Amino acid sequence: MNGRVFRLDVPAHQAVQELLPWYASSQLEPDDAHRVEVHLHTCEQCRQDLQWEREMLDQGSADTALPPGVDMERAWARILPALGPVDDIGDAPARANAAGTNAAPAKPLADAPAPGVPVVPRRWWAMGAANQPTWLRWAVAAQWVLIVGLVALLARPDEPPAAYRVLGNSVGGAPAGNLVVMFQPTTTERELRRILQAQGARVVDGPTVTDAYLISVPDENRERALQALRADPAVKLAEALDDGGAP
Amino acid sequence: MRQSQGLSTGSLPDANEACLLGRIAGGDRAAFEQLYRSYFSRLSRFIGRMTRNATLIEEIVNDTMLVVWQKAETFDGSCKPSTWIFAIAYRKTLKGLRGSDDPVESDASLYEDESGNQPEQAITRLQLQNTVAEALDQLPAAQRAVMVLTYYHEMAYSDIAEVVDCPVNTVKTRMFHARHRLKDLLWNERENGR
Repeated sequence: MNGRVFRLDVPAHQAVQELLPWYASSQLEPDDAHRVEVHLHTCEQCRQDLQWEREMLDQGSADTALPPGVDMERAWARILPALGPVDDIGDAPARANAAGTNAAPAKPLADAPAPGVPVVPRRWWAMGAANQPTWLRWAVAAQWVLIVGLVALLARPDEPPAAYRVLGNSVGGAPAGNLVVMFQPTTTERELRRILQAQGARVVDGPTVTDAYLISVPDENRERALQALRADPAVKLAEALDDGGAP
Repeated sequence: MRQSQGLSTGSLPDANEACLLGRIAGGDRAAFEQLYRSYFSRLSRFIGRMTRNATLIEEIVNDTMLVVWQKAETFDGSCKPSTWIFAIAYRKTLKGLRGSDDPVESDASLYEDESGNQPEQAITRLQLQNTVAEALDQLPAAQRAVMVLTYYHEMAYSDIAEVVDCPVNTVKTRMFHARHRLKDLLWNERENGR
């Protein structure tokens, strides 16, 4: 009968065999543990294997020594620089607070390592860490300098705009036009020059899209020049402009 | 029934460790130091079972704890803090093993206790430790990690599955095969020792 039961329990035996290490270390969920216990009542091999598992666990749990050559203080001193600046001014890096629950509030501090801690060069991968305050602080500072610079650039008063003169509009000290003249289309440049020179006039602007010229003549000669221009057959139109007014 | 007893020396309750991680996420160095000192021994022993290079062990422990320092805010409490930290250590160890030219060699003598006058039972246990250590070195890294976490750190298989990032059935299977292999190796050792 036992042989028949054993054959029926082969899958259970296999499952229990797989669970034995964790049954031995009390690391099984209650369901699994119960399954193992039930099987152990009927299986001598699993009972023997359980004993072996316990020996393995005993030797494992007795092995609490650090591997030879490994030194926690040395390793701690090596990792410290990678953590960034210490929080406590003038003290060994936060070690005094290790056992306490109240950490000192984070304060900015110089990057110099605390006394007594060997200076270990910071590793490149530690330098790139997102919470590495050293470069982060400089990056933020540089960012602000850039922002302030750009704002200053925007706020800087522009160069005085180039004087834009329109007909009949005098700007600044530029000679203001006080007459508008239109010449006959057949008027040559030479003739045009002669007419203007005869009146002591200077072209201020033009020709416009309507072929008008804005010219400037001395105020005292304006009326005379106007009459002379109107009398000239080459002049199609000559009009005075009021000072600062539109034509 | 399930406990974190196996995370042995200096281990803190899970809630305390989760609290420390919260403080570390806020940049609390004192909390980090407390966690570092609490984990140094177990991480060193775990990594030491995977690689016997002392310099590499310290380096991997520090690499692991630096990730804890930098990524503490990503710990979401979906697993135990110890599981989270050992998972980081396991990944760093595999990376370290790949990057190291040193083969993982059998060097159980490194673990020998040189003090004499041990009670007979202790000597027997010590011999067993050395023999197991040598046998462990002959296992593939994946099987060795599962076995070390089971026997030396008394982790539940579900936690081990998270540490080594594989299904729980794979952990059971790896452990099953590793035990058979270890039994054979131990049997051979004992035979050769006679």
